Amino acid sequence: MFLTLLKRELMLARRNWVAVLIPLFFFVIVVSLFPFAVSPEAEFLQQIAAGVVWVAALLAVLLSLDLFYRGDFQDGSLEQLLIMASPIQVALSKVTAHWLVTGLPLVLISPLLAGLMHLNYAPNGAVEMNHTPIMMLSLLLGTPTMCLLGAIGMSLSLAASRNGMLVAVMILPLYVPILIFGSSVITASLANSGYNAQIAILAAILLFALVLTPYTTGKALKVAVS
Amino acid sequence: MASFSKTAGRWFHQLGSPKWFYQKSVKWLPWLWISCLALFAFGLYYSLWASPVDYQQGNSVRIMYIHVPTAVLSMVAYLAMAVCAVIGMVWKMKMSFMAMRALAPIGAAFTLICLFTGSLWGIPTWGTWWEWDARMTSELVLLFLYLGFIALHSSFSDRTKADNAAAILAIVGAINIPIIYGSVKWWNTLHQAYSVTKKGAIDPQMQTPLFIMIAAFYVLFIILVIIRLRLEIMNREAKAKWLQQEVGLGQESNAGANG
Amino acid sequence: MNWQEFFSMGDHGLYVWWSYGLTLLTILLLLLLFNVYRRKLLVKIKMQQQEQSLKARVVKTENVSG
Repeated sequence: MFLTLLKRELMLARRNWVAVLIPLFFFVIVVSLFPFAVSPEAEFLQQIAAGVVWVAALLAVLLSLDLFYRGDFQDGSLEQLLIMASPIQVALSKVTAHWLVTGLPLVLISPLLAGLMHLNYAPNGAVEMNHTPIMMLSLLLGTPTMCLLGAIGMSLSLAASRNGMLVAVMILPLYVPILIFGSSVITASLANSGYNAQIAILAAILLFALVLTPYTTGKALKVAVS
Repeated sequence: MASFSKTAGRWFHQLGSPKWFYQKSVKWLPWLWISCLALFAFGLYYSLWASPVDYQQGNSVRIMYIHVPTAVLSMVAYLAMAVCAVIGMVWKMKMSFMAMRALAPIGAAFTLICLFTGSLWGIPTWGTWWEWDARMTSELVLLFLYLGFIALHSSFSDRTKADNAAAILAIVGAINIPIIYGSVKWWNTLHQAYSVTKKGAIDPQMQTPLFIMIAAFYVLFIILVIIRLRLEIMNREAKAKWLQQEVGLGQESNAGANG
Repeated sequence: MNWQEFFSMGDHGLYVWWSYGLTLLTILLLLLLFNVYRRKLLVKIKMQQQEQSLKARVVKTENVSG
């Protein structure tokens, strides 16, 4: 059942592939604005790279939520889905599809942004270190949590308003922990200190969210169609 | 034991009835106001006059007597909101959802008070009105959670949906608060270099006034919640005959029905 | 402590009195907002009640004529 639902979500996404690419463009554009806003100096960009990439990823995930929930809610197919399958399955299939279509591409495109933000910059004479895989790992562990938490906010606001800001206002405060640990993984790697603890905590938060949020999202979806 | 559970059951039942609460709470309010003012009279006397001056922070330590009680209550209010949310969702008790809605603006107001008193305390002690201190940052996030809750609840046109959706958000928020607090604390120790001075431990001589002020703010909080809850009942039971009589519109309707 | 000290609060009078004053102001503002809301609700309840009694009258006259 879950696989059928997932296939349906992915098929819908494929049909609407331009809209699916927009969050990726958004991610790249937001990050590339920072050199204009602050300074193009490599040393400086390297310092803010972790925060910029993480905040841009958060916003990209939040803004792409609409695509996976609004359409189904408006044409009534969400109601059909909830009759067909259990709310948890519906929620999980939507979150998985959302992550596969936006979260994973964000992770895969992030090396480009690491380059733009001079993440691996080393002053003359110093040995250049490659921090890109660490950044990708932090995003790999962080983006699913973003999708899971975002799904709650999106399903709660489905029946309320079309205002995307509402989801942001509700959910962004909940993103504080993963933002702290996620960007600190990269910062710690830049400072040549240990980052295993932060990675472990990110993974723990992901597992915690994976256990609790599908049920909550299912509940919220049921409230939306009730 | 049986009689205890019977009494508890009756209380639960009565508290679940908007009519019972609306009629009884009027009689509670004067007593609560009297005890509130008495507690504040004592509390303010101690906190502004009779309590010692901190040897490091001088008189600015007197801000603590507002800052700490409001900080405590801002968290208690969110927790109470989450408890009301659970009760409302499990037992479908409408009073519980009303209480949840009534708590939100008051909790937000107390969080706001906690934040600006903290800022004003920060100017003489930290040398700046905002420091990314763990507790202050958590309070800021708490304010965002309250605002998100109020924004969500008020953007529905259907009240049942609004209650249920906002209840889910309150529960999710309450589960997240310890995680947020823990991570903010961890993040703060990472950047310890930035915090100039710490707000110190409490002198025993300051404990008594602090406890009185906590009690005073608690009673004030309860009064505000009761007032707001009564308004929520007025809003939701506007069609009920008993409420129309309660606010002095009853005779007219009887006359209309008879004539 | 004397009155002079009480008002100046060391050199921290500004911060202490602003804190207490703004707290009082916030709570008064909250009560004021509640009062405004209360007045709005009273109007709403009155309208509800008039609507109901009007309906009751309509039903009655219909019964009489029927």
